[in-house]
Amino acid sequence: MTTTNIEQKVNETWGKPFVDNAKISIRNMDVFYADKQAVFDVNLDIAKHEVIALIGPSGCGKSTFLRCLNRMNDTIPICRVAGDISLDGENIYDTNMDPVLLRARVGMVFQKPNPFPKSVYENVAYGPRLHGLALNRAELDDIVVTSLKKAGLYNEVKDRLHSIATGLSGGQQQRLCIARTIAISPEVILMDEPASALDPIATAIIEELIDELRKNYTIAIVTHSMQQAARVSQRTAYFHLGRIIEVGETSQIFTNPQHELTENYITGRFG
Amino acid sequence: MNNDLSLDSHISRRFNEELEEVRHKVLVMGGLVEKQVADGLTALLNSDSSLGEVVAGADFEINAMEVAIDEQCTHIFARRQPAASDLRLVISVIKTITDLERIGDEAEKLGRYAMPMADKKITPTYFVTLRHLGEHVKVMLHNSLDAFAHNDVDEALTTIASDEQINQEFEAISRQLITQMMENPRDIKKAMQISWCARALERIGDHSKNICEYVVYLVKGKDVRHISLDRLNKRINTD
Amino acid sequence: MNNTEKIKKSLNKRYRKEKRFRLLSLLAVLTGFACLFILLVDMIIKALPAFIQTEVKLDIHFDQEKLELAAHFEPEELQNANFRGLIKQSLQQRFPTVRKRSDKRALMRLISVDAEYQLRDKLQAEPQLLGETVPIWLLVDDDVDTYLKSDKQFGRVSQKQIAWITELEQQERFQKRFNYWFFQTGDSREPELAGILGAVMGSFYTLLVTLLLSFPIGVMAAVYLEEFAPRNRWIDLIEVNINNLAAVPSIVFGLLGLAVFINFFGVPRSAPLVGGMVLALMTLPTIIIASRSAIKAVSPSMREAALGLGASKVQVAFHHVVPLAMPGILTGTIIGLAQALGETAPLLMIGMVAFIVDIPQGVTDAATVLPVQIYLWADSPERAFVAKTAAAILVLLLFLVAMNGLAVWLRKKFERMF
Repeated sequence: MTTTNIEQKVNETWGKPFVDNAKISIRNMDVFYADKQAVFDVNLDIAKHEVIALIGPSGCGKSTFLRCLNRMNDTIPICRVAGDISLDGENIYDTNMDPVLLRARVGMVFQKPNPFPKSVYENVAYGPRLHGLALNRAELDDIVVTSLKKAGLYNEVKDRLHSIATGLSGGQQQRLCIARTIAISPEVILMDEPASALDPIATAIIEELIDELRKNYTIAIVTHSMQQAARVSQRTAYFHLGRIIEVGETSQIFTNPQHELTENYITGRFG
Repeated sequence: MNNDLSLDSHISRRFNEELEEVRHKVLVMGGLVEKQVADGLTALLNSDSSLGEVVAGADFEINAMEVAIDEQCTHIFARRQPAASDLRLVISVIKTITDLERIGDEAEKLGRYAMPMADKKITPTYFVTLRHLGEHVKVMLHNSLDAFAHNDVDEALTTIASDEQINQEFEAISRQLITQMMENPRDIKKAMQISWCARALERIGDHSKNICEYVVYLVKGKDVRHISLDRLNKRINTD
Repeated sequence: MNNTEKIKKSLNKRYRKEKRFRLLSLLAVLTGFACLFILLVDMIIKALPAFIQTEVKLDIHFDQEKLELAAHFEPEELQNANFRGLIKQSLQQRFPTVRKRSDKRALMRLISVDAEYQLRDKLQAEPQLLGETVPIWLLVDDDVDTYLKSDKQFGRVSQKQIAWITELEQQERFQKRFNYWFFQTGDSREPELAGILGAVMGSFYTLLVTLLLSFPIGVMAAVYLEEFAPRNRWIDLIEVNINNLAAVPSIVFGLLGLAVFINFFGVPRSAPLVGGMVLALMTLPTIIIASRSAIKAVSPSMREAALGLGASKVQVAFHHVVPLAMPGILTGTIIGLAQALGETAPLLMIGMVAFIVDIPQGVTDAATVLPVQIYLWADSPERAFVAKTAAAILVLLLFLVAMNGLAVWLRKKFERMF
């Protein structure tokens, strides 16, 4: 800890926020709720086929940041996003960008498992049906089965595809939500604390799944569990009061963070 | 330079205490080891066979401490999953106590050699260089423990550098003894014993150097083992 | 005294308090239940006579001459034949001593005015009876009916009439049967002929119009306000107004209906169509408010899930939010409709408080509704209408129970586990 102290600069990001093969790149992003600024001048690249973990204390803006990546914050009238966020070079806040199309390309999994109170099959089929991805019933069946298999849920639910999804266990419900998301073949999956409501075994299964999904998708995950961030991600970004304080290789962040705020957070110290 | 690892600022007070306790125990163990080395050296140089016996018999205490600290570190891993500086601290502690235990073993050897050598008439001139080496090693051990106690990278680096000097002194003693043995084959046995003592002291220097390297790892998060001094300095200075 | 003892002491106190509270709650429930029970029992007891109708057996000679029919007559001529004469003839044969005109009229009043139509229908159905003499059961007048039902305590029959009734009774010429008539006819000035079906159908058509208008409009308004409306002053104003509308006296809606629907748009007066429209106006605020709170109660995570899958706002609303809110929306709708069912005041203004004999066949026929019917009967002087009123109230209650049953069934159907 040579030069770190609490007065260390916080308005520039430590570590390496930029990568060569960026899927999503964020430049000078500010987010406001009415007059209150929630995210300050964030610069970050999310590389193709990587899992990036966003960690930080509650209210640090990491969830807000995540939700801006597929414009879920559009539903909040007082929320305003400034700066440049591009997906494969296209600005997602451009007037030409359809938020519905964007959300089909950038899927989202939420903290609380939220399957629709319909059958397992209907849950997974909903997205493809919405976007007309299947031409006939056979194709739809195929999408449903493949998605459930990818989410590692098929064997557990194959006998009750048509029973109500809310009867599944919490971990199964969350995997169903992941299956539902990957049924529309998004390019990026955003996960907002996907395992926070699950027991350790269900959590381990979800983490295993995230690692598996990395081959085909780019994943950004917000988590409060440092161990989880350390286990599933390749890169980690630490948020503090709406700024990214430090970004880096996960192994480096968790053994030798550069910024004292990061250090304090991941070691459980007073900030 | 901020040497404060701020062990007392965890949200969990119990965690603060655990880390502080482990560190404290390491320092206590270090003190014990230092005393063993000093006693062993004294026994050797003063041909004090009874003190040698005491030193040889006291090693179990150090071994017991190593086991105890090891266990405590395992508990910390299991219960706290330390990260960042905490993780580096616990790793450093585990490694440091291994080296301290080895130093204890070397001190035990010194004490053990002191017993047979006290009976034999050995020309005191042999001891002059040995004493010189011994003093150097004692200082080095002390400095490395000091660096650990204060998380002092500068002191650690100076100490690492001083190992080179000890190695040279050991070389000198070895050369001197070889000459002696060639000139005076009847003294070969005595010379061998002195050589072993010198070897033990040189090993203590190596272990002290290891401890200093752990201090660098602990504070800077950089692994500086098994590299030349030049590259070490370069690595330290590139943040 | 240690903590455990302190807690024990306070526990006793708390348990006593709880017990008291439970007893009080139980008492409240029981009081309510008792009131309802008393009301129901009272109604049923009062209504029972309305479900029973007395008939008298008279030997009727279908005399062609008395019927004032030619030897060869067209079937239509039967309509105007003198069936009343047959009854007169039969009664005179039964009581030959009655000579005075006024006594004859009193004797004739024992029989319902509808009896002659009964005979006509009988003859039309069985033409071979012409010239025959057959015993036929005829409706008695309501005064006689009431006299017989009330254990001869009722005094709107004269002494002479009582004598005749007693004589007929000794000959076992009276019988009591279930009054199916009551459920098959519309209103009448004669209590023995008055039925509830007209009012039931009127209520049914009115509520149908109300439901068809207020449910879609109310739900759409609620969905718009909750899911799509921008937060600005205009929307706030609309919200305040909707909440205020719920508290507007219903007669005002009646005036509005009169002014706008009847006078301006020319919707037929007294019809279920205009009644339904007025009641829909009155029901709308209830449905909107209930629907909004049901929509608000739908977990935001459902909206997020659908949005996250790329559903548009309208898809989110109609695929997920409305189906999930449906149980609550239905509850609100049924409450609103139940209110509408019991409403009379606004109907005063649009002419639905009227004496209507015919059973309405559609939403544009003149009709009355159950509560109005109850009011009209309660206002009638004939003693027999007391029982009719109670019976009508029972029918109204049954209508409500059926509606609530439907609501419960629909809710069960829509309710899903979470």
